[in-house]
Amino acid sequence: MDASLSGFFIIVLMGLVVYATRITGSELMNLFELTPRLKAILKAMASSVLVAIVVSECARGDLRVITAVAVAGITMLAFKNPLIAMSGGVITAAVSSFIS
Amino acid sequence: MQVTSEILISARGVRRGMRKMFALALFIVPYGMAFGVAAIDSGMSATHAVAMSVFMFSGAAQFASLDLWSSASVVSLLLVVLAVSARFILLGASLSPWVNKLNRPQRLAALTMLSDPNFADSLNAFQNHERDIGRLFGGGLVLWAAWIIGTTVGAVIGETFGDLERFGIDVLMPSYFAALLLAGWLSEWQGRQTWLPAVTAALVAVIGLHVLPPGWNIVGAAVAGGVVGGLFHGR
Repeated sequence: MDASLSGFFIIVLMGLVVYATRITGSELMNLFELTPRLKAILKAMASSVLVAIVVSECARGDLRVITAVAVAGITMLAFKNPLIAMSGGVITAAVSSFIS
Repeated sequence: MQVTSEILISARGVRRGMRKMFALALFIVPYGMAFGVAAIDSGMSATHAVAMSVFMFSGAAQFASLDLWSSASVVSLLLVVLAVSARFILLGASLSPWVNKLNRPQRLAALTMLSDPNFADSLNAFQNHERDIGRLFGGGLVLWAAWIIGTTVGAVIGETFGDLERFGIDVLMPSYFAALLLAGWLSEWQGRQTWLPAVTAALVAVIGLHVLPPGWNIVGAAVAGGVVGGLFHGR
């Protein structure tokens, strides 16, 4: 992908793919009745995505990443604020980078 | 979810979304910088790096495509982007009880700005009687702007800036997601209906990490968690 224009074209294509996924969910749901079971499935799916991302990051990462995410979780339980929890995780990772 | 009161999209809602996401957007700037630096590192031009953030607006998809940018075919590149972004379908479906009350042009416009943080904020707000889809769009706008600004800064000073990982930026996304999960569980724990899908998703994600192509373990975990959630619904 050396030519600048073709690179740009591919980026636009990738952008269209991402946009397609952004609109497909709501368009699909126009075709189905939202039953309680379907709602349960969607809800489980939505949180499963978050679980999967967190667990994958921890599995791929080292002790530093796992510790940071754990601190974020504990901070969340203590302060009930995602921003503070996030900061707790980031600061933990920065500190452990600094001292290692 | 039965949505009865009127759904709309207004400039006021957009401003409310922007305000709600502003603090988080400040955290997105260094994350965008990390992407910009990584993109330059992967041999991409600064223009292409910024174009990616403008047109894709997805950290996961963009980072994933960086790996393949210089080596892979266009088709495999697009498939990886699709796999990593497949979860947006789930997010869009989750917002559909509210978003689908808009007409199609409004809906297609509002969803251009769908991303994880403003999805989480909007879903929570809609469940608590927010009726303005501008909340989603405005939140996305400010995140998008921060993402583009960060990418630009990171790309321009990429060669000299150094490694953002030592500032802990790499754990920002999982930390935020962990906090969001806990927030949801604290407000609405439903016993087996909550933990069984979560445990299933975690197992599939870890196993899939080793046996599936990049991104597909997330898709597989979501599907598995959803199936388990559906199977055990009402039991």
